[in-house]
Amino acid sequence: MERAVSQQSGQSSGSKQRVLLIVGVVLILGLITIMAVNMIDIESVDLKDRKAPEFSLALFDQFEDDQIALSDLRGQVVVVNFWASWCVECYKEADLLEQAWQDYKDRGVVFIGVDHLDTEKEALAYMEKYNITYPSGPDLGDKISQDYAITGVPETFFIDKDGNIVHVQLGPIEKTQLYGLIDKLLAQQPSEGT
Amino acid sequence: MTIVLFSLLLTSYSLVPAYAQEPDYDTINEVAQELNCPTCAGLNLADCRTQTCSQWKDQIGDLLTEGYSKQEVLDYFVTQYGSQVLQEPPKSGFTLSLWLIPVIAVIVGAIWLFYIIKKWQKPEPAPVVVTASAAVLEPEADDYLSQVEKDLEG
Repeated sequence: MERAVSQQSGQSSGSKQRVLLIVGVVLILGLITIMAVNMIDIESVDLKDRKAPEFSLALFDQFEDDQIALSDLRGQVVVVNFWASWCVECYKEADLLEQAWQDYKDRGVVFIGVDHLDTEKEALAYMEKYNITYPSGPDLGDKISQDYAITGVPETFFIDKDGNIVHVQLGPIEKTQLYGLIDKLLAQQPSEGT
Repeated sequence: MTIVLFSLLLTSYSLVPAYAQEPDYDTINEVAQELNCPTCAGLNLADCRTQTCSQWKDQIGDLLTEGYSKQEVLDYFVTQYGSQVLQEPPKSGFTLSLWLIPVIAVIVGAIWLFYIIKKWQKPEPAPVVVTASAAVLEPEADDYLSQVEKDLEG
């Protein structure tokens, strides 16, 4: 009987050890998974040739509409520009983007300005300075910037009529490239069902 | 007339929120210390000297002047720029795991350590030598043997 008790005690201690071991292994695996997920570093350029992440941008007060949603723009060429008032490089392309918007807005092209990590006062001053009239608004909660995995500003995404990202521009863009890309996208026919 | 104007002045002054005065540098810094610089990794907003951080600190000052409390300013920044702006991740959602995992790891580690120490302290059980005389028998077996012995004697 003593032997039976001793065996029972040994079995119970063994099962406790097993439970602890399993808990430990599960925790370590969980930690490794969390670290691995955090280490997956997708950058904006990796989004090329992929479906553009959907978003809805709340616009600054001066615009007629309260917000603009990408899903409502299917069938049109969309140029999404990430900018900020503190971004010196953004100044270089601000006039060009506005000029292109004026040139293409009646031809099925929509420009959207996503204001990244900015303060409203300075953002509005920036827009006034460069006379920006295309729909722009603050990226609330930095959600759109994260979905598009931007690595800085300015970054510009060119989205075709089917909603696919066809080009990601890191840094300011030149006129020839900007107009060339838009013309190319305008010339493409959307696939059926779009 | 002077009394009326003076009363109006006093009334309007009393309507101004408690925080609605130009916040000093220390007050702004107190809030800024709880926020991250948005453009430079690992740097506190209070210690950052970039234009972005300067704008953000001005924004803190403006909000405090408008009557926002410290917590309301932090909430505003989270709404505008996401929870990653906070020096301390919020204790909710996915970031809750950042708080929970170390605590769970410490608890599991302590239990494991306690278990190991307890095992070390416990003396190894002496090997059980089973002899016929010392054998402890089940009551049923004892009855059976007595009956056998009785039958043999008889």
